[in-house]
Amino acid sequence: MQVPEMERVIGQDSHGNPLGPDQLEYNQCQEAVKKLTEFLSHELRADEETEVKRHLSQCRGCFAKFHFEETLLRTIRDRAEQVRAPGALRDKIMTLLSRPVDDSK
Amino acid sequence: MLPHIDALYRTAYSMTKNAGDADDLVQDTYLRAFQFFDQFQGGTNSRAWLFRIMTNLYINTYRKRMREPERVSYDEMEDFFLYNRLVNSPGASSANNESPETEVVRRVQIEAIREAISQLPEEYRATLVLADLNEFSYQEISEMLQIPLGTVRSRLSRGRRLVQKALWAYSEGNQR
Repeated sequence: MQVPEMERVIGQDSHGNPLGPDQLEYNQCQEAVKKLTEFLSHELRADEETEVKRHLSQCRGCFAKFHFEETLLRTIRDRAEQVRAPGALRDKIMTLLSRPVDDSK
Repeated sequence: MLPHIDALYRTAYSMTKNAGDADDLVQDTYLRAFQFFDQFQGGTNSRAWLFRIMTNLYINTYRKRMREPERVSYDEMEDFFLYNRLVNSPGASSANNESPETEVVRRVQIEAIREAISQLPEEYRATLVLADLNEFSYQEISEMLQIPLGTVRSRLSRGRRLVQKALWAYSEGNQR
């Protein structure tokens, strides 16, 4: 169905930047942002992901923000991986596992 | 010898918020895995299997002990909270010609991450730790925590925003 001209807001995107020729739909940025959570988790359907990536290639504002979010998530994951299980815990579990199974409990 | 113990420990620590409970949870997970090893399908994902055992134990024992009241305000939470702060605050990245990425990598250290995750309400914490630290799919998380897929998505979305707020508060507190 054709979108009626009346419903198109021409002028600014959601960052307040003037719309370029590729951004006639006012809600392109909003649509991309709605998919941010799943985009970052690689949970979008292939066609949805393509659509978000296409928008990111056309919108510097969204590109900068999405790129930032990806960097933040990766940083959190990488830093969290510094935490290792204590040696004492490994030893204790290995000792427990090497014992014969006690069925009386 | 003990496969995936570091990832299990990190996750147990984040979920229980203390080292003693994390030790117990990881230990119980291996004991149970060992006991039920005949139920493990060879060739399937041992990491997911161990995590499923651990989340089950967590839900059935630890979580019952530490029921927390709902503490999240349901006000609209801002998208891109941290990005907006780093770009717009005086003295932040733009002033030092630093990209917001460079600044966030500098600010977000392990203590800040630990603090931000530990402040999350329990239901957001488990989802976020499984998704963002361990990269399980929404489907896997939905099965592990016995919650609908849509709930995984909404908890993660809110959880990430809350983490950003807490990271900002922590790093601002440490700059002073």
